[in-house]
Formats: sequence, structure tokens, C-alpha cells
Amino acid sequence: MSINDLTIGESAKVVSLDCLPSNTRQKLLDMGLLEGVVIKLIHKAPLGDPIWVEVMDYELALRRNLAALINVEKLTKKVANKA
Amino acid sequence: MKLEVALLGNPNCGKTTLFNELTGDNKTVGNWTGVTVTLEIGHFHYDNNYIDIIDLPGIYSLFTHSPEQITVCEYFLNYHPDVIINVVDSTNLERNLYLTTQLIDTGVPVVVALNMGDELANQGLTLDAEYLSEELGVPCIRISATQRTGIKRLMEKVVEVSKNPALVDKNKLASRFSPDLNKTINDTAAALDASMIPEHINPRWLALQKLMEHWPHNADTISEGTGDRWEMLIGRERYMIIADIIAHTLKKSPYVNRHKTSKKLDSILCNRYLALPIFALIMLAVFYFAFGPVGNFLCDLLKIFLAGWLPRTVDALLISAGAVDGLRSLIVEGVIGGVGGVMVFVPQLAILFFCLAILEYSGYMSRAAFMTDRLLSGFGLSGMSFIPMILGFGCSVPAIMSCRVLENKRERLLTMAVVPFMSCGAKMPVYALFVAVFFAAHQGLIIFGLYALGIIIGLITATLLKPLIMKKERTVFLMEMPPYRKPVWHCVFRTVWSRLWDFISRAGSIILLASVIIWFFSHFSWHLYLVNESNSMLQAIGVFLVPLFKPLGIDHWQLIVALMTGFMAKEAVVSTLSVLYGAKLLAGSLTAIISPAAALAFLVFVLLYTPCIATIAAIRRESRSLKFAFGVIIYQLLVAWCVSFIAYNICSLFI
Repeated sequence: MSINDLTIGESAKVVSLDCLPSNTRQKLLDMGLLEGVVIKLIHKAPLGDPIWVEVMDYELALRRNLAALINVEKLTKKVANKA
Repeated sequence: MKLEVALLGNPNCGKTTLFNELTGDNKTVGNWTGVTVTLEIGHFHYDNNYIDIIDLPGIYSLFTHSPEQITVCEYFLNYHPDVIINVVDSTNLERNLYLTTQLIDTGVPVVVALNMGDELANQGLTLDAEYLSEELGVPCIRISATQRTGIKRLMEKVVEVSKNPALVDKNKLASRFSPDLNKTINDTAAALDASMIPEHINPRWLALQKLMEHWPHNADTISEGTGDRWEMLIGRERYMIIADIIAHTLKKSPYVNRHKTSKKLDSILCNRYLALPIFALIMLAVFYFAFGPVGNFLCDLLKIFLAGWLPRTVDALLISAGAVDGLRSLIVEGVIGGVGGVMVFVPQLAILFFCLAILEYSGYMSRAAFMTDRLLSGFGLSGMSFIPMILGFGCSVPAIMSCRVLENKRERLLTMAVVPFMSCGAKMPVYALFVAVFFAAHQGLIIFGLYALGIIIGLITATLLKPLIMKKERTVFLMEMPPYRKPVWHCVFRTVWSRLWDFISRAGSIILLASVIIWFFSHFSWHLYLVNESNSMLQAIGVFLVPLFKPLGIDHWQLIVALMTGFMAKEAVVSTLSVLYGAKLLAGSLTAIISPAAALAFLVFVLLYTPCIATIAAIRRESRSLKFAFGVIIYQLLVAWCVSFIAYNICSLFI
């Protein structure tokens, strides 16, 4: 599943970035978005795109077409709170 | 001792605030050979040391994806700073330290400024700066750029480190990398051509850049090859090292109550249904304040002084001093009329710049970019282009420069072509003059309509030029959303003042010069006889161009000459008309010479025609293409003529 499959408030762990073109993957790396990191969907723009996630200690906006290529694994509420 | 200090950090880390705090107003813009953009250098004295501090662009990493990153890498290869001050946002340590670890690798001594510690404390967190210093091998000093604390200690440390570079342990961080990776890096470093390595640079950094194929810089051609694999590998190790250090540095769980107020605000301001209406209200409020009753009232007050009392008094003085008619006319009509005609709009611009600065500093501008991205992407732009566009309502020059946030070169060009259509503050005096004369009952509506028209033409431009400029490229939209921050008033006022001062000093230089030149050409014939305007040189030039403007309903040479001077600065249109018709008689003269429909066509032309010379220079500098800059001039002239033509003909039917 990808970030786009989350509903607002849900958290997920990034599983793989293999589907992304390498220069995009490198930009995500600069922003601290890499495998194993926990992200949380917090807003969607008025027209549904882009989306707004929390990653590490800050917040990041990205478009759905990019988010679709980020494979994640949904975390249950319990696990997310722990992380 | 003379020191060169480089100031670096992530975007939104408070770097520029610290820069302003350190240097005050004593700064210059430097041209750096080998570095692609101009950088600001601040100068100040600290403890018998003369310090040059270079404000490098905000970046997330030392790779070469964006022009800013290339600038920084070029700077390090070509120049030799004594110390790097790395400003770090303490509330976002994990990502900010990623750049820090790379800066330490360059071999230039680093001093870390842990900024926004006050915010961190408000979140109930404490930061162990000593532990962090020890683990990173570089001094870390807690500061707050906005509260002005810790800055003295930071500078003490900078001077100390510059005198004794051994205070920085270059190998501490390197030793934390896995042995396998270190071996590869060392092997690569050993294979580098030693003569290529500047003395102050650690070969390790060049080896890293080379492994990841970021050296020599190859911005747009990052391959899918081995560089990518190395980058991910090295990046992951960096983040692991950072996570390990942070676990011992930050006390209390880092995920508690982060930016609580900011989140609450966003749940309203960025709510899916409320976001756009609130955004529209905010923008309307800004324009209402600036160009509505408040702004108008202040401008009228100033007008009583600048267009009434001042010229009257000066004229009386000149008469009593026995000045000849020519001189009186030059000073009263030329200088005071021209410059004063422009200066009366300072209050309105001050309000506009103030509102824009608050939106910028509070973090709302990023939200606006987030909300508008989907709309703009339909036109080939992105939410990132939105910030330059909004800034364009103030002045196109900083707006063009802010296009640097766009990483994709073609998207940057496209945005640069759109920005000048955003009606800048200098065009406002022209609108204000004409609507007051011709459309007194619908002032707000007409001005709002002009702004809207500018946006529409800008978006159509993007759609038209997209296939030409963008080809088939897709852009990546990735934007940090900083938490809301209370605007720090001295920063806001500094920004407002520097933008306003730009306008005022232009009135004292370009506008003054233009006014005198216009006065000269309008009072002398080709044989240099003092004549009245209808026989002057200016008249001859204007009349020559009349056929071109006749289809727009504009058939008086004075208006055409005013448009020509507008190329120097848009507000010169007003000063020229003031000089030609006399500031007091201006309103009456205008109604006599053109119809309301032609007046509207004139305003549309002013809105859309070629940007002023300062903007053209900025476009040339930022696009690094003279051809592109000329293209913009010609395109906008054509657009202005066509749209004015349409506006004139449609309005003639109704008015």
C-alpha cells in the first residue's frame, strides 16, 4: 500500500522507495524520508492533492503522484503511539 | 584579525535572522567568481576581529540537485572560510543534523548554532549541548536568534575555533561510520588527484561527493548508476548515526506535544473545506487594508503635503529669491512634481509590504502554496511557484530571485515568465491616479479587476509557454511546512523597511533623473530653445509613436511618453504625467484627453507591458540567458497591446 491509502490521522512505516526515480529518492533522503521512518498523514489539500505528512519532527507536503510510489505498511494505533 | 565566516543551514532554521542580528545594516552584495549567484556579505567587528560573514543559501544537503546546492559546493571549492556557522533548528534536530554531518566532512571547522532552543523548552524538552558537541566533535552553542540570546557566546566560540582549529575533532564523526564504508571512502580519497584538492578541504568530502557522483557537479544528470546506491547507503548511515546521538541528547520523548498550537491552527486554517475561503478572505483583507480606506486616507494626508504645501512654499521661496522661470519650472514641476507624484504612494506600499512580510514570517505562505498547488499544477506551475507570484505583488525583483526555491530549471523559467504579470506595487500609483479620475465610484472594483486580470494572463501565459519551456518534464513537489511562528517584529520591520527604502531611494534616483530628463525634453526644442510642450522634442518623439497606440484609444503623445519612461520604473508613468501636465492640473487634463474606455485600456497596458529594467536585469541574472530576458520583453509588449486592444473595444461599447 502507499501513503495515499491512509486516512487522515493514520500512521505508517516506509517499507520501500524502490519505485521512485533515483533523483527523487535522493531528494526524499535529504528530507529524512527513508526506509524504516514512520510517517503520519495529517492533512489533504482542499482539492485532495497534495497531501501533508508528518515525518521525523517536522511536516512535509508532497503530491499524490509521488506519494503513490512510496510503499508503506500501516501501523496500528498502539504501535504508532509507541513510535 | 580578519575572519571569513560562512553561514549555513536548512531553510526555515532562522539563518537569515541570525545574519541580520550579527550584521545589522552593514552588508554588501558580493559577486563571486566561480559561484553562480550573488551572495550577501555582512561585515562587523567582534572583539578586535573584523568579520566577513557570508550568507549562503538555505539547503538540506551538500549534494548538487538545486542551484542553491551547487552554489554552496562551488563556494567551498573556490573560497576558504575560516569557520562555518551551521544554524540548526533545535525543534527538528534529526533532519537538520543531516546537513551538519556533511558540513563536518568538508574539513572546514564547524561551529553549530542550536537555534530556537526557547521553542524546544516550551515543548518541555531539553537539549544536552555538551553531549552533542562531544559526539559530533564540534562545538555546539545554544542560541535564539529572535530572542537575541547566546549570540555573544557563539561568536566567542567562532573566534576561538578560528585561532585554534584543533578544538574541532575532524575524525570523531568519521569514526562512527562503518569500517567497510570508511575503507571505500579512504580508497576513493587516495585515488583523487591531489593537485585538484584545495588545501582547506578534507579529501574525505570530495571522495564522498565523487562516490555519490555529485562531483564535479552534475546537477541535471544524476544517473541511475552506482552514485545512487552509494548515496542511499551513506545517507542511511548518516541518519543512523544521528538517531543514535539524538537518543542521548534530547531529554523526554520527542513526540510529545510537538507544535501543539501550530497544529490546532492548521486544523482550522488548512481544513479541507475552510482553507480556500479563509485564504481568499486573508488576501482580500490585505488588499482592502492597503488600497482601501486606510491606505487611501494615509496617501491623501501625504498628498496634502507633497502636492500642495511643499511646491507652493518652494515656489514662493524661489520667487522671492528672484529665480528665473526656467529654474522655477525645473524644480517645482520637474523635481517636486515628479518625485512627489510617486512618493505619495509610500503609505499604501508600506501596508502591502507589511502584510506580505507577516504572511511570510508566520509560515502562512507555505500553507498558501500547499492549497494552491493543485490549481497551479493544471497550468504547468506548482505550489512552489505561488510564493514568487505572491511576492510579485510587492516587487518583481525579489519575486524573481525567490524563484530559486524551484529546483527544476524549466519550472523556474516558466515561473519567471509569469511573475511580471503579477501587478507590482510600483504599478499601483498609476492605477490609483487613473481610477480616482475616471472611475471614482468603482475604484476598488477596477483595481481588483486589474490584479485579477494580471493573474489570469499569467496563468494563460504559463499554459501557452509550458509546452515550449517544460517539454515533457514532470516536476517533484516536496515542500517543508514549517510550524506557525509569531512574527518577530524587528525582523518584519527590517524587511518592510528595506523593501520600502528600495522604493524611496528609487524615487530619489531613477525617478528624479527621469523627471529632470522628461522636464528637459518637454521644455526644449531640437534647437535647444525653451519652448512650450507642444513644440518640444518629447512631443515629436511621442507623436511619432501615436499611430501604434491609436487602436488602443490612446492618441496623446504625453501618455505614450509616460509609458516609455515606465520602462525605467513603473511609477515613472505617474511622475512623467505630473511633470507634463503639472501635478495640480493632472486630473483635469486627463479627463479632457482620453475617454474612460481608453483610460482602462491604458491601465491594462501598464499592467501587462514590459517589466521595468530592474526586473529584466533580475530575469537575465537568474535565468542566465539574455535571449530569455529579451523574449520576456517582446512577449509582454505583444500581450499588452493585444489585451489593451480588446479591452478598449469592449469597453467602448459599454462606457
